[in-house]
Amino acid sequence: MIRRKIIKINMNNKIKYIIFFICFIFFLSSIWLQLAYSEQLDQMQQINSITRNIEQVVKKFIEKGLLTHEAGKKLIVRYNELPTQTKELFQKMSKPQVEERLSSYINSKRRFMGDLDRPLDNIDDFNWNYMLYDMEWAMVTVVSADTVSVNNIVSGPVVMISDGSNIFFEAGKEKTIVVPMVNNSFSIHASGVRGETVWHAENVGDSKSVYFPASYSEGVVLFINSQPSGADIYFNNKKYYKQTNTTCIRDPGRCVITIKKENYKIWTKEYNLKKGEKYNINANLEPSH
Amino acid sequence: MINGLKVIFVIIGFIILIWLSVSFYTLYSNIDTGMELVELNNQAKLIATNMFFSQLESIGKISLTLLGVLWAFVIYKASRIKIRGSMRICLFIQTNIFLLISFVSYFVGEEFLISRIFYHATIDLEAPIVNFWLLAQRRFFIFGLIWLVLTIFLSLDYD
Repeated sequence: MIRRKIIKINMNNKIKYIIFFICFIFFLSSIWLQLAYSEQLDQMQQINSITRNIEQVVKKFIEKGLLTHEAGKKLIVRYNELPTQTKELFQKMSKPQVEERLSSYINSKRRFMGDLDRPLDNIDDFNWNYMLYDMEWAMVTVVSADTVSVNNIVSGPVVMISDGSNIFFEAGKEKTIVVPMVNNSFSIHASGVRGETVWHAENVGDSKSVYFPASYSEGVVLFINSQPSGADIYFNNKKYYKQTNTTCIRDPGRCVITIKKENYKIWTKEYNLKKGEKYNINANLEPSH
Repeated sequence: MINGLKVIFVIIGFIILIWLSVSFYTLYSNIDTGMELVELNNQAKLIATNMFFSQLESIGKISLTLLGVLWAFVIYKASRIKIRGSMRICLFIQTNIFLLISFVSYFVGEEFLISRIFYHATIDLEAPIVNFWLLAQRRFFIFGLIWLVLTIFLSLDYD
């Protein structure tokens, strides 16, 4: 009888020991997990705290009338889309610092666009990486020969890499953006179908405004008609290879156009052709007798 | 005899160089740089335009390569081609000038033509200005090639 009891007790103890052991393992595991991921948990909390700070800063600018609601939302969405590594860099910044740098961008842009009365609504050229540095801003107008996407902007020792919200320059169209600048110099690196393009500026003057025109020169379009047609055309006394009625693309500048046809009086007129303009030239030729 | 040939070719080279430069300068002064607005809406026109540019580009690149070859003979000391003596140097300079002008014609002409295409989506292969750049490039290239061969053969060290 005693033996059975002993056995019973032993079996019960074993189960208890097993249960106790399992609980102990769970306890140790939870402590280990807590220690192992505490850093990440802290980071996540900090990131959430920074995100809240950023949202508060953006909300403040909206309330002050410096940013529109739409622009503010875009800023926050773009911030949330940043990689965790970039967000971690913002942890080193204080809320007043972020506020100061964002304010610098917004005010510079509004000043460059000449619109200090309205809140800023276009933030296409904004990049959260800019807020990690303290720098000046330049207004840059670019006319690109090709459609390109900006990969990064380099200024001094600092490289601002695109955060995924790319700036595009459409072929032949003027676009103005605000660019961060260290030591009055910067480079914009872009790429398109035909390869890489770099716009580089040094010694940017006090106006902080840089214009990059397209490297090719635009001509002037002339539509030359005469009544009757089939007359010879001369530009500055040089014969054109086509007769009226025809078109001509030529370089801008002063031009004397002469139209001659047999049995008709010579028609002549001077023009000051301006780049990119189109001219309609109609000559009514008078019979010579 | 070879020395005599060098002298003759140097004189001919200078005459051709002056003649070509003056004639192209006169031609450029007298032609109109206008171009008719021709829409590139035709597959045949597009192919012709592409071929035209390919032709310009290939001659431009070859002239640059030949310049490199010429200078390689100068730099490479173990070469049998020795650019020494006034006549050989004159031939060398003439070859350089022909090939350089050919390349510059390509460079300047192409930029002008690309600006017409870029801004006005037009290029008229019949326009005198288009033919001018092509002609200038070709003429100087051909003479550059001939003078390159002459420079090589007349500068060979027969020792």
